[in-house]
Formats: sequence, structure tokens, C-alpha cells
Amino acid sequence: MSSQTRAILLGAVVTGLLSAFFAVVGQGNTSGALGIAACCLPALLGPLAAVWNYTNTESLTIPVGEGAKIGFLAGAGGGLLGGLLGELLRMLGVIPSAEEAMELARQAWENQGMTADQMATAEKIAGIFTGPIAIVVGVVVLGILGAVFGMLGAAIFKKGDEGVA
Amino acid sequence: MSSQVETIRHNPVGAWLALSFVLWAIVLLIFLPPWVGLAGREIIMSAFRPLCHQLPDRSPHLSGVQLAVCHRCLGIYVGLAASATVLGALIAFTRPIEKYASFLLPASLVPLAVDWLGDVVGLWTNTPTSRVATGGVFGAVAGVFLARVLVQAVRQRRSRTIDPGKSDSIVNPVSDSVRDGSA
Repeated sequence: MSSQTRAILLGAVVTGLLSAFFAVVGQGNTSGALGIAACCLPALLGPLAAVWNYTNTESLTIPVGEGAKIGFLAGAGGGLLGGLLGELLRMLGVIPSAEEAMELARQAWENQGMTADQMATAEKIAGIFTGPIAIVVGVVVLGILGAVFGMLGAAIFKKGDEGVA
Repeated sequence: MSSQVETIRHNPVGAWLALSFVLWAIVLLIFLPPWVGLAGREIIMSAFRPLCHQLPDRSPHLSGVQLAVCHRCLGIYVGLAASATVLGALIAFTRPIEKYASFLLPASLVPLAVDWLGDVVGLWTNTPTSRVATGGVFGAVAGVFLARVLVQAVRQRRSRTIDPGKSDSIVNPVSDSVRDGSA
């Protein structure tokens, strides 16, 4: 396994595990404050960790495109891992099931003054973005943000000559 | 279309404009839920769900409708877009801070952490304003470095394309500062 693949996997694990961790601590209990404070952190730290690991291992300053690529793959991998872990935690009853999450959404829609018809429409659409579709959305969105923070990582973690190992 | 892509690949101003456009498009998407139909609103909320907890009492509302991210994330995205646009245009003046990037970016997370920690330990109660502001500080600092790294990368690519034999000159700080001045 190349050092770049290893770095991407590390970033993906950081993003995935933090996503799952904050999903658990972000529940409406006393430790919820941690999840509330750090909802963006998984998307940020995974790609940065991947670029840091790669530049540190190879003593390199990488081009911005390389940083974006590593960040994208770390973010997308983290989205996949986080999504799968989320489904597992849902099955174990650690975080709210899809039905319980929908109930919370219904309360929010009610507070926004939606009518019953509007809520039924919203529920239908929200229902599409659950399970595998939600994981795919997570992979794409976290991948895009990962590319942005991978570029930032390339700017921050500079070691030795510019190049690709 | 391909000529537009080429323009962005080789023109620092094009790259800066493209980055600004993308970042402001994200901000626009965040503000869009109150102005679109139910289907559009749910699609936008679902797209941002992997990035943000979207808790109603920690998120901004417009016309009674929740925006796509929480206060702190809103600060981050607006700060990122505003700083990449404004300070990206003034890139020559941001050169002195480049060497402090590895210090400044983590430091910009400190106000955010203090705002949160003070609330958790009961020293104060953070407010929507403090959450947007502290998120904005981090976003603004990240935006400066994002614009810098992208514009520099495009300049380097252009230098290599224009004069492949002199590609070494792109890492010369003197010539780099001259290019900065011409931005």
C-alpha cells in the first residue's frame, strides 16, 4: 500500500469515526453540547489529517491539485464509512431510527407552520434521502468539502521540495 | 466550454473568480430554503445534512423557515466566501502572513472553541451572534489561504506552460513577489 493510499485511508477513518461519534454525542442529552460545537469538524479534520500524514511521511510540499485529490478521497471515504457506521448505530438503537428522525422533522415543520398537505409532501421527499441515498449524498458532499480542505492542507503542511512521491 | 476551463486553469484572476463563484453559490444555497418550494427546500436541507446538525434552535430562520446550516456553519461559509473574494483580490497584501499559515489556521479556531467552552462550563451563554462571529473568524482565515493557494497554483501552472525550461523560477520568492505585485 502506497503512503498516499494509507494517508487517504487515515483521513477517511478520521472523518468517518468523528461523524459517527458526533452523531452519538449530538443527541439531545447532557453531552449534546460536544456534537453541537463540532458538527463541521469531521469534514475538516479528515482531509487535513490525510494531507498532513502524506506530506509528513514523504517530507513533501504537495501541489494544490494533489491536496484536493487526497482531500476529496479522504472526505468521500469518510462519508461512506460514517454513513455505514450511522446505519449500524441506527440498527443498534444508539441514534434515532429513520422513523424517529422523521418524527423530529415533522415537529420542526409544524413549528414552521406547514399544513398537513405540505408536511406529507416534505415527508415524501425527505423519505427519499434516507438509507443508501443518504450515504451517497454524504459521500459526494463530504468529498467536495474534503477537496477544499485538502487544498488548504496543501497550503499549510509544507515539507521539503514540491513533488509527488 | 473547454476554452473557459483553460482560462481558469491558466489565469489567476479566472481561478479567483471561479473560487469566489463556487463559494458564494454555496452561501446562496444555504439561504435558499425560504424562497423555494417544499421539494427544493428538502433537497437543499438533505444536501447539507452530512455537514451540519441543522438543529432548529441553533439555526437561523428567515420568514419562519430554517436555513440549511446552523449559525456557526453559516459564519464559516460566509466568512470563507467573503474573505476569499475580498482578500483574494488583495492577494499581494496577504503574502506576509503566508508563512504563518500553520499557526494562524488552528489559532482561528480558538474564538470558536472559547465561545463553546464558556457556554458548556457555564461562564456565559453563547448567542446566535457569537456563534456566527466565531465561525466567521475561522472561515475568513481559511478563505485567505484558500484563495492564495489556488491563485499561486494557477500562476505556477501558467509559468510552466509559458516557459517550461524555466519552471524553477516559480519557486523564486523574488519573482513570486513581483508576480504578487502585478495581481
